[in-house]
Amino acid sequence: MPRFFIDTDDGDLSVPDDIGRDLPNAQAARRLALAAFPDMTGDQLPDGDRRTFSVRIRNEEGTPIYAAELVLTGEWLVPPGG
Amino acid sequence: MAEGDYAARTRIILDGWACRWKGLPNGQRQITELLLPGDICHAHSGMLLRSDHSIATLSTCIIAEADPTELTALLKQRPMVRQALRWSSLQTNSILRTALVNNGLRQADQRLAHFICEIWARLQSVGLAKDGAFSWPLTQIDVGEIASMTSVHVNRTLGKLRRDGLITLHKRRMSLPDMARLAESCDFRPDYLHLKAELGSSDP
Repeated sequence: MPRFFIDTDDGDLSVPDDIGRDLPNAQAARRLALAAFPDMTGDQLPDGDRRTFSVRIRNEEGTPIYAAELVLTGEWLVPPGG
Repeated sequence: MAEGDYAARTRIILDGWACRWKGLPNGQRQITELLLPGDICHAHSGMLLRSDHSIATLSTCIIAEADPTELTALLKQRPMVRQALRWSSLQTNSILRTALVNNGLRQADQRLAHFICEIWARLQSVGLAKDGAFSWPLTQIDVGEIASMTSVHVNRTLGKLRRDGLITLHKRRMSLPDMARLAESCDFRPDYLHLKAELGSSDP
């Protein structure tokens, strides 16, 4: 099975994957990378109205093959009070 | 040893790490408990016909097997062994309760910190952790299946604990340079492990 490296960034901490994981194909790597978003948001939110979470997949040669971002954009429509 | 099998023999881990786990039809797996050296599985297998969970090794293990009928005889003759087994069951319950709270309520860094503290305390109690360092055979996938998070997030979270100077992980060996700070970071109090229980204080 080919090895994929999944780098992640939650806006505070960027963690390059230096171990990698063996997966059947690039689609499986994409599924795993996207599945990390709920874990990452669960740790950071709620915290402000602006945050970008990102993941990036590299193949065995170190070439980036997929990238995804999840962006929070919050905005008050009336002043919150309190 | 798979879920649904007849749990015919009692097994005791002499060396290495194993686990109890359950899974879903879609292949997802939850490791419910780690079995560390000294731990016993299926001690009361005579009572429950079929196992409700699977057991798997997580490293090379040395495992002793005992015939449950001989064990039953031993328990009749030796009240201290009976108490020790009862203590072991109570401790397992307590570890499970704590894991439910840990996985359900704590955010990832505190969750893994608490899990690491627990492993340290358990290994320390059987003489397998010296100066805050111990063997760590778990893959990031294993840790994810214990702590209910993706292996990607395990990588992130271990990276964070490393950056904060709370752990070092090198060649399958975990070191805790500042045990007090690690324990404080996740509110780890080892009382739930009941490591100082007094056997013999009351016959069950």
